[in-house]
Amino acid sequence: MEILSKLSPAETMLLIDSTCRYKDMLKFTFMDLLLKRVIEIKVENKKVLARDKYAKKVQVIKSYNYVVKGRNFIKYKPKGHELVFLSPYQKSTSIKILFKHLIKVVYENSGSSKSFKSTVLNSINLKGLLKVNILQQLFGGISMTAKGNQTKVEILKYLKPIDQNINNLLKGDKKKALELLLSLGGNIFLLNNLDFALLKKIDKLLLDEQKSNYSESYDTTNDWWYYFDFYDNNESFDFYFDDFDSTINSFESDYDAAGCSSCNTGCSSCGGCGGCD
Amino acid sequence: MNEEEKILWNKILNFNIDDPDSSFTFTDRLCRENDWRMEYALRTIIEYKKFIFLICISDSAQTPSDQVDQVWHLHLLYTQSYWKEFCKELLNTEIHHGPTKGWEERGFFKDQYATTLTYYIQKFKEKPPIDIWPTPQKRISEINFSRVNRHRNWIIPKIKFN
Repeated sequence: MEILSKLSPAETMLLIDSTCRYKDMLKFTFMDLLLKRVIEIKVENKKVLARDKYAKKVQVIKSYNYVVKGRNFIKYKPKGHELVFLSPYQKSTSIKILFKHLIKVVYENSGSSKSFKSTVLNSINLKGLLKVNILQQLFGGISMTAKGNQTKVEILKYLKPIDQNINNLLKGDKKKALELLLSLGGNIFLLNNLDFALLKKIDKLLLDEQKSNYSESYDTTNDWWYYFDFYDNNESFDFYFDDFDSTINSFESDYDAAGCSSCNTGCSSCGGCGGCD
Repeated sequence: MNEEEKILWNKILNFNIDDPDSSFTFTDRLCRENDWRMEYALRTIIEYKKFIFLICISDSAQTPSDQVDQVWHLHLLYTQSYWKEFCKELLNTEIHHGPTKGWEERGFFKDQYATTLTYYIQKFKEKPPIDIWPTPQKRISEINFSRVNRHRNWIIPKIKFN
């Protein structure tokens, strides 16, 4: 489905349901940028002091997630709503950002549900599909045009059977499964049932073959596979998808935390001196 | 930058100023105390690291922008991180902070700040971001800062006519 391969997950979500959750739009935008390697997660191990069960200080190694520019950052042309994630990397080339700090950056940059949806709405891909009248500009809300309604029905009709069968296809007909996934572009995150662990079953050769087929029929730079370097021997496809589920969960929890701590009230641990050690 | 300087810069750049386990990190505190947005604070920390790098490779003193100075002040409060992890273990040198001795030094610091900006361009091959490293004139003129209790006071920006 050609339109789906052009739409980012946030655009598709707005088209399917204009009342969709702001947090989910941000979450799937983040995952889409990760998938396209515009940004990447870098895990750093650090020795830290912790207390054991006898309250004695012991040294342990802990892993922390940082978000850095990905290998496709320079060649990627971001959409307006993606800039809420990418602007720090555009302004400071060498920046690496602690995952939970990036979530706060996003929370601040996106402003509010209304302003973020308004940025998504201005996308060229949604032109003529959605509209906002004067009252909606004041009080919020988005309407659909007749063409938008038709596109929404088509997308839902296309997505529903894929969502229902994707995991079975990944176990059985891997080629067919991959063909469908590639046609969705970054919208694979909108499949509620997709088990990312199953994507490991797709081998590199099959992926390369599909890529060359699709390169001929599609002309879009929105597809995640367009940015994926299948010919890099150091790249492991299964490893690539390994942490997506945990990243989605981390996004959820850090987003909720960012929403709390960005207020100015602070808690007792925020102010003053923490004492000496 | 020569090879030795590149190695040093990468070491400084990769230094983690934040304790990732804290629910209220160094950067969070920097945002709150300066009323900065997270993105701005993170960028200013990078500029602070660049400033420290310039100090390390230079024979003469350097002057930071006020924004970079705020990061430096706060880092000095985190004594374990600043003196032990950063200065002693990473840089192998002590970097002391020297506050101005008064208005009579204003001209001197203005010139030294301008020299730092030139040195920055020479080493990093890019202009320092103007929102973090303002012009020498602005650096010297906009220095009236106060600590304000926001529970008891409102902060209303002055109207700009230009």
